[in-house]
Amino acid sequence: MGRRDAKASTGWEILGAGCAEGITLALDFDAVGRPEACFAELMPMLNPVRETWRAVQPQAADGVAPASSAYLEFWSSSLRERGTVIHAVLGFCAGALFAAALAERITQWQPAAPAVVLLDPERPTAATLLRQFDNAMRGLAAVTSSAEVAGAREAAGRLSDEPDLQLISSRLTALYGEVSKPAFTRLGLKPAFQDDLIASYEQLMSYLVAAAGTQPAPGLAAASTISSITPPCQSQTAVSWVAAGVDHAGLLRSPAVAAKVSELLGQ
Amino acid sequence: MTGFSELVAAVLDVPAADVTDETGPGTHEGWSSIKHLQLIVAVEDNYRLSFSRAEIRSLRTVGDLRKNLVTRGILP
Repeated sequence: MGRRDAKASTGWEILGAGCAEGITLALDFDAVGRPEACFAELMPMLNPVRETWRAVQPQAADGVAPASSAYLEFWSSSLRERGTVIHAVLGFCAGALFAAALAERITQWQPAAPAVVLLDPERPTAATLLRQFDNAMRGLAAVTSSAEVAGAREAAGRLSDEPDLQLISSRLTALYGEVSKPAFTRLGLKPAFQDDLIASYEQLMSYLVAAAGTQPAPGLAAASTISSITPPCQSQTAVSWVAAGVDHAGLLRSPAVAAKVSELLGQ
Repeated sequence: MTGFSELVAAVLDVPAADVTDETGPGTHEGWSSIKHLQLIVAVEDNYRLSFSRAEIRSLRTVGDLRKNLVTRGILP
C-alpha cells in the first residue's frame, strides 16, 4: 500500500514497517505539536514490531461532520474489501472507543478476533471539548493578547452546561478560528497552513463528538486497558493495568507501557 | 545566520547547552503546539527554506528537525 494512496483512499496510512505477521491498527488524533506522545513513538518499542497503520480522518461532507458510524465505516470498509489480517487494534484516549468498536466490526469477517488494547480510554464529554479548547488557548496565549484569550475562554465557559456536543463543537471551532487566525498570521505561518491548522482543529472536535457517540462494544470485556496515573480512566475491560509514574502525555512514549503492550499482544 | 542549537534555544527560551536531539514535547515542559510552530517558522526564516505540511506534522523533536536539515545538506 503506497503511503499517499493509503491516505487518499483507504482511511489508513502506514505508520511503520514490521516483520511479524498481521497488521496493527492505531486509533488516535495526532495534532501538530501536541504535548501528548503518539503511536509513532510507541510502536518501534514493541516486540515484535508489526506493520502499523494509523487511522486518518474522514472529511466532512458538505460541511456536515461525520457521525461515529461514518468514521467506523470509513476505516473498516477498505480493510473488509482487502481482507487485511488485523492482529491488533490499539486506541488512545477517545480513540480507544473507536478501537473497541472497530475491532467488533473486524470480527464480522475475520475468524480470529484482533487483540484490543485501550490506552487511557476516555469517552468525551462537554468538559473534554472545553478542556481541549482551554489547552489551545493556553498555547495561543504566547502570541495573542490576554484580553482576546480571556474573551474566548469566557465565551467557551458559557457552553459548559450545553448538552449538545455538536453545538459545542461548532461554537468552539468558530471561537478557535477567530483567535487563532490572527495569531497564526503574527507567527508568520503561510495562509494555506493556517487554514490547515484550523481545519485540523475542526476535525479534532468532530472526532471527539463522534467518539462520544460510539456504542459500547459487546466485545469490550475481552479487551485490555492500560492507564496512566492521570485521571480520568474509564476501564470496563477484563485486564486493567496502571502504568506507575507515567502521566497521560507520556503514556505512548513509556518503555514500561511498550513492554506491557507487547506482553498483551503476545498472548 | 544563527547556529541551529542557538536558534532552538532562543525559541524555547533555554540555554543552548540544554538543547539535545531528544528535546521535544516529552522532555521540555514549555513545549506547546505554538512553540512547535514558532520553531518551524524560525528554522524556515533562518535557513531560507520551506517545510511541507507533511514535514511539519512529522517533525516532533529537535532531532527530527536536525535530521531534516542534514538531509537537505544544510547541516553537516
